[in-house]
Amino acid sequence: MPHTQNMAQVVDTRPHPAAPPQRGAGIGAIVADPVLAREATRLFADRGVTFGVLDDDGGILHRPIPIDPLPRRLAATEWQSLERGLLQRTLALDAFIRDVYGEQRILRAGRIPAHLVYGSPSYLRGASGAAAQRPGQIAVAGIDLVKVGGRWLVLEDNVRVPSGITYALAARWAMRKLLGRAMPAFGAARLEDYPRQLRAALRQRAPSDGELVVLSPGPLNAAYYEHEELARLMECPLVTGDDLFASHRGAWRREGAERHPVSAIYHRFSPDYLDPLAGFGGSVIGVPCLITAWRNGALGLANAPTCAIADDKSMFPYVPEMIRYYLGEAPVLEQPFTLDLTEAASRRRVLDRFEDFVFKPVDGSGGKGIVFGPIASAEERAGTVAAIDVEPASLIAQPALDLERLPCLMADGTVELRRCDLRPFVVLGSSPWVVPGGLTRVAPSPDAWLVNSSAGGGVKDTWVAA
Amino acid sequence: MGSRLSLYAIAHSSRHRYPAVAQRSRNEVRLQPRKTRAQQLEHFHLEVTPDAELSSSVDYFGNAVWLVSVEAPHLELVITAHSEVRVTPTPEVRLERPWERERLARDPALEFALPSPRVPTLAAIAELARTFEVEAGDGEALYLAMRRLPEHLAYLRGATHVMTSVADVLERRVGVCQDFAHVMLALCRYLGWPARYVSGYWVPDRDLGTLESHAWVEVATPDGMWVGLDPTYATPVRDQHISAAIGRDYDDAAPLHGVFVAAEPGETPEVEVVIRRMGSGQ
Repeated sequence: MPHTQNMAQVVDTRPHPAAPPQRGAGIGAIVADPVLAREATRLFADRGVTFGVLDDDGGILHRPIPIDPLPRRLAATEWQSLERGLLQRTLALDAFIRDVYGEQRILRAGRIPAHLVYGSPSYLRGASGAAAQRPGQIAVAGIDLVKVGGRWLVLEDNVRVPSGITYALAARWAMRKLLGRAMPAFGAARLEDYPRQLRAALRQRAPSDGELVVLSPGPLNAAYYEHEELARLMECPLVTGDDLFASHRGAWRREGAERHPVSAIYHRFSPDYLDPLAGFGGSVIGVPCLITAWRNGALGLANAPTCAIADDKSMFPYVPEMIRYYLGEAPVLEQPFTLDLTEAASRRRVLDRFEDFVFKPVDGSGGKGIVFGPIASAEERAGTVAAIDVEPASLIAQPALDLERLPCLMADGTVELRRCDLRPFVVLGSSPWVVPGGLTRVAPSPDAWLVNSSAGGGVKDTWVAA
Repeated sequence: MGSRLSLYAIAHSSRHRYPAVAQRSRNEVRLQPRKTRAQQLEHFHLEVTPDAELSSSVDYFGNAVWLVSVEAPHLELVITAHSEVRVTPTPEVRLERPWERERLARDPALEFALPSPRVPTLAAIAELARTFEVEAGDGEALYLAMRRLPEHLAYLRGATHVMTSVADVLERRVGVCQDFAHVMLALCRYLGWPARYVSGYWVPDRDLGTLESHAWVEVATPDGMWVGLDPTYATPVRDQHISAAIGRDYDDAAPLHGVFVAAEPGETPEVEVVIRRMGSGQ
């Protein structure tokens, strides 16, 4: 049996049912047994835990997502500090959203350059009004963290349509299956409360006692597995735009000849595609008047369509400023610096030390268009240098971070180190709740830098010591 | 043009014909004249056939928006906005002292100094400013640009449509009031002034009757005033303009914006505007 001598988290003593391991961080142990890897993969395939990728014909292929059976483990104290930072960050982002759709105090104070907000395609003026002033514009946030040299850093705030929680739930389900009765002994804090918490947050946003529904763009969406799974777990009908209609008085779900009033929607649409009437660039998909109903207080929307502005990558450098401005607190979580390439000094700096930086398009997601200086091909490098010259506002630069690599078990029983990140989820319900742990994403190979599922990345379970 | 108070009745009607039955339609209407120091709204109502549900709200820019919802299948939709507006001449404000950059960077007016979806940054605008011999600086440049614009662009009905781009207008040197307003907005912003699009009506001195809707621009002064400039008629706005909606460009202030559910796309609506003078007060 292959051993992993260098990894404290993975040791080779199987938990014996007769002598269960003691509770507590670092004490439970998992065997690096290739059967585990193969079983985990089979469990995910059987359950249909998939993520959509584009196939060669431009269609979508729902591929089983890779699952690694060696969990990431987080000590209780380490997690407590992350939890505090995540909550702080989410509350500051929520305050920022309400402010920029209201008095715009932070812009008048000159703490965030106003042109970044006014000029952002994610500033959706059609969503302004009283509804945009209610606390809890964000119902759920997914905040990407990475560990670099022993320090946790925030890489991205996802508040538009944060995805991935059901992959974390599926990873936990698979671990329970794999470890069976030994599982409780590991003392991992439970995540399974998530659907109930999200449902409660949705109910809290519902102005009437009508239905709660999950609105998906449909099976062509990469995360359709997640939409189905959340609807099932939240005990809500799963609908697409065609199933709904709306007016300023609210929204309804059609079922044959029947119409059921809908009081709140958990949607998985980019907000600019929710309502073709809201004036977000001439979209014809979505449900006409959905945002009107929300603006009139006749419908709950989670997340609110206003959230897109806080998800814009050009706002990211200013989140620490938001925390100081709205909460009067020092930021708990650190984040890497971001270089504004419209400044000549920044351009010189990244061109001199190209291999030290990562370049991200301001409007991208899913790792699309990201160029990593340390591993960029000559072609990628030339393209990036040209973009910096011609359209410096279209991308930002951040230091290239060598993410912590965690041990992953291969089907042949070997253990490889792969780069991993962590996406915890924060739910703003009647009392805010941070899912213990979250989704650990795993890069698809030892050399890969990107952990995104759209780049072939996998997942592993995350255990926070309870 | 002495001091006078004028009351106008406006009927703005648009007829949408659908080639295939529309099962349902939703239209946003921005035709309710604004309430400002220069114009008082005495009356407003919408008349719609077939039967429709109406609801009003206020948008980001402060415009009154009427939502017209038709639930029954229909082949035609006629929306008529009836307004009565009293126009009060106000003392003319001249654009003089320019904005300081640092001041503008924090002012809400900055929103109107940036490029917008229909008025992007174009090299052709810089070129036009050179042609007009205008530079960033005091307000005089804007008056000059406004006067030069109708010499540069030919007012030609039907040569452009609501979606025509500024680049296209500049290349072909033709357009209608909407296009003139967009080019003027681009010039104002290029010259360092925040400027917004205004949609509404122009009222001639005489010969009222069947007219058209109109568009012009308003420029923000550093002390918080908005000054109207009409590049189509090359005139500052005094008491012959009635505004209905404002925004960064046409898309924000469009008089009608709608969606309908049908098997085939619709046609361009027929629009008719009739303005009558209801007499002068005092």
